[in-house]
Amino acid sequence: MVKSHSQMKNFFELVRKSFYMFIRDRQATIMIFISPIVFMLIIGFVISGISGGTTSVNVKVAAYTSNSSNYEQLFKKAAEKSGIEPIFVKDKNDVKKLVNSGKVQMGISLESSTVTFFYNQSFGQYNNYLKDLQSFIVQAIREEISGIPMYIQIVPNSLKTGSSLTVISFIVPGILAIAIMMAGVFGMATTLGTYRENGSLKRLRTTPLNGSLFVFSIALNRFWSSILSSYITVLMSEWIFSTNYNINWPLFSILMASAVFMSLGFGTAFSVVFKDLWTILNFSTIVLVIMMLFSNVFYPFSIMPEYMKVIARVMPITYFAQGLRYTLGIAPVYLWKFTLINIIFAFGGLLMIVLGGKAIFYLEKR
Amino acid sequence: MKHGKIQKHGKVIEVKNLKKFYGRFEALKGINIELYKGEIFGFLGPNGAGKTTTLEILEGLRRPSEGEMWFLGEKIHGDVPPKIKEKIGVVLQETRFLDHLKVKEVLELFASFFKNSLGVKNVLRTVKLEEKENTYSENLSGGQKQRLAIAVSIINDPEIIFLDEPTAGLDPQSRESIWNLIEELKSYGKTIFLTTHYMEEAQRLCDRVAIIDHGQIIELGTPAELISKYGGKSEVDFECSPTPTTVALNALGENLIISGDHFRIMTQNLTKTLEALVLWSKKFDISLTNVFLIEPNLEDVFLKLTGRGLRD
Ligand SMILES: Nc1ncnc2c1ncn2[C@@H]1O[C@H](COP(=O)(O)OP(=O)(O)OP(=O)(O)O)[C@@H](O)[C@H]1O
Ligand SMILES: [Mg+2]
Repeated sequence: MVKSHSQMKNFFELVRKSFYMFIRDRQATIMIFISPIVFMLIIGFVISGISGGTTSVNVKVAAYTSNSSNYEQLFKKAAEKSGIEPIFVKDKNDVKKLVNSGKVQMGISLESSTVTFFYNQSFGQYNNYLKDLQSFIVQAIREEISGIPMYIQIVPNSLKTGSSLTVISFIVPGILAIAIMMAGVFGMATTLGTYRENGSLKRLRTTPLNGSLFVFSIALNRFWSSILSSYITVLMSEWIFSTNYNINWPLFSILMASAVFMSLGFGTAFSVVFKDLWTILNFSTIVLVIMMLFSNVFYPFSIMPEYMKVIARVMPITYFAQGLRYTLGIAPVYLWKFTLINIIFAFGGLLMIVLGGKAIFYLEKR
Repeated sequence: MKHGKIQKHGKVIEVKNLKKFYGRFEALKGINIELYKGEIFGFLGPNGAGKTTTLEILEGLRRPSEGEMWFLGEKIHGDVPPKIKEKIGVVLQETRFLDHLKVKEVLELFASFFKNSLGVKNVLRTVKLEEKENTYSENLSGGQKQRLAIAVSIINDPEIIFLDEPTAGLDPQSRESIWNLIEELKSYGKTIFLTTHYMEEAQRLCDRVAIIDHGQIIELGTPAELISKYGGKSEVDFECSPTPTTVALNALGENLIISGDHFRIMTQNLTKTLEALVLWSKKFDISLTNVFLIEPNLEDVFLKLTGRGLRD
C-alpha cells in the first residue's frame, strides 16, 4: 500500500514536470492551439470560396404511407428516430410533386412492401446528405417492422426539418478531426523523437522509471491541450462560418477524448517503429495525407467510388469525422456505433501508449 | 601513489568474459573485472577501446552478447532489474537533460523515479550548484552541466556510480572541481567506475586502473604498480650557464643526454639525482635554469603496452 502511494506521488511528479516542459515550450504549445484553427480557417475559406458553401438549404422531407396498413404509425416512429419530421401527404403523387417543385428535398413513400425515395437532382451536393439520411431511415424502418427494439435515445434529434446544411458545416468536422489527429500524432512523435535523439531518453532508461508511465505523462499533457483546442476550433467555426451546429457537448467531449488518445497512441506507435525523427515526421505526414484524402473528411461516403469506400472504411479518421458530425448534430449515427467508436479509440490509443512506452524503453537496447 | 592497497572484500560488481558484437565487429573480447566496495576503478583507453560499451552494458543500456555479471553478489539474468537500478548512479558520456526544466526540477524529477532520495538541497550543496537551482538545465555552462549530471547520478544515494569520461572537454579549473567532487563521493563510501582517456585523471583518482584497448583489458593494477612495471625512468631536464666544461659534464655520469644547450638526465631515483645535480651546480659554479622533472606516467605505460599514444 505504501509503495503504491509513493508510486502515485511519483506519477504526479512526472505529470507535473512534463506539464512544465510542455507549457514552457512556447512555440510547440502555441502551435497545438492554433494549428487546428489555422487549418480550419484556410481550408474553410477555400472550400466555401469554391462551392459557395456557406449558403444554406433547408432540408425538408415529404412522406406518404399507404392507408391500408399500419405503416403510418411505423413510419412516424422510424422518422422520429431518424430525427426528421416529414410532412405527411394524402396522395403518393403529391410527394413527387413536392419534390419536383423543389419545395422538399426528399420524398418517401412507404407501401406494403416497398419504400421509395424521391430526390430532386438539382440539389446536387445536398443529395449526399440525403442519401446518408436515406440509408439511416431504411435501417430504422427495417428494425421497426421486424419488431426489434430500437435504441431510441441515440437518434439525433437535431437533424430537424428546417435545419440548414452547408458544405462548410459538413467539412468543418472533417477538418477538425484531421487537425486534432495531426496535433496528436505530430506532438507525440516529435516529443519522443527529440527525447530519443538528444539522449534524454537514454538517461531515463538507466533509472527504474517505467517507460509506459513516462510516455503516458507526456500524453496526458498533450491530451488536455488538444481537447481545449478542439473546443476553441469548433466555437471559432461557429462564429466565422456560422455553421450553426446543434452541439452535444458531453458527447463531443467524450469523442474528442477518445480520439485524442487514439492520435497520441498513433504518434507513440510511429516513434517506436521509426527511430529517426525525420523519418517519423515524414511517415506521419504521409499517413495523415492519405487519411485526409481517402476518407469522409472532405466528401461524404455516398459519393465515393467503391474502392475508396473500402479504404475509407479502415481509416480511423472516417469514424472520427462521422462521430464528430453526429455530436455536432449534422449526421445520424446510432448510439451503439458511437459508443463502439469511442471504446475502440480510447482503448486502442491507451494500448498503443502503454505498449509503445514499454517498447520505446526496451527496443533502444542494442 | 597516494592511495594504498584497497581491501578486497565486498565485491560490488563482477564481470566475467563479457563480449559484445556489433554485427560482425567484436567491440568487447572477453572483459573480466571486479569492483570492490569503496574503490575508484578506472578504465583507461583510447577512442573506440570499448569503455562506453562496457559501462552501458552494466548500466542496463546495452545487451551483452556473451558473459556473466554480478551486482552486489547477485547474478544478472537478462535485463538489469529495477532493484539494481535503484542502487546505481549514472553519468553518461553525453548528457542532455529534459529541456525546459530548471536545475532543481531536474533533480526533483529524477528523485521521483527512485525509492531513495538524498534530497535536492543536499545534492545541490554537494555539487555546489545551489545558486543555479532556478536556471534551466540547457543554460548551464559545460562544467556546471557535468556537475548537474553528477548531482542527478547521486540523487538516489547509489552504491555504485558510473562516470563515463566525467571531465572530457572541460577546462582545467572545472576538471579540478569535478575531481574533488569525485574524491568526495569516494569518501562517502561510494564505489565508482569511471572511464577516461586522460592519464592524469586515472593517476589522480583511481585506486585501480584497467588499461583497455581494442576491447581487451591489457593490464590491470594500481597506477603505481603499472608505472613501476612499465613506466621506465624519470627524467630531469635543465639548461645552464655558463656552458659546462667537459670535466663538469663527465661528472654528471653516463645517463646524460645532450641536445644543444639542453640537458636531460634519465634516472630511476629522481630525488637522488636532483640532490646530486644541485651539488654539482655548486661545485662547478654553474647556475641551473628551466629545470623540469618528468615522472613516468600511465601514458608511458600505455605507450609501452601498445606502441601507441592514448590520444593517437
Ligand atoms: N551501436 C554501435 N554500433 C556499432 N558499433 C559500435 C556501436 N557502439 C560502439 N561501437 C563500436 O564499438 C567500439 C567501442 O566503442 P565505445 O563507444 O565503447 O568506445 P569508447 O572506449 O567509449 O571510446 P571513446 O573514448 O571514444 O568514448 C568502437 O569501435 C565503436 O565504433
Ligand atoms: Mg566512450
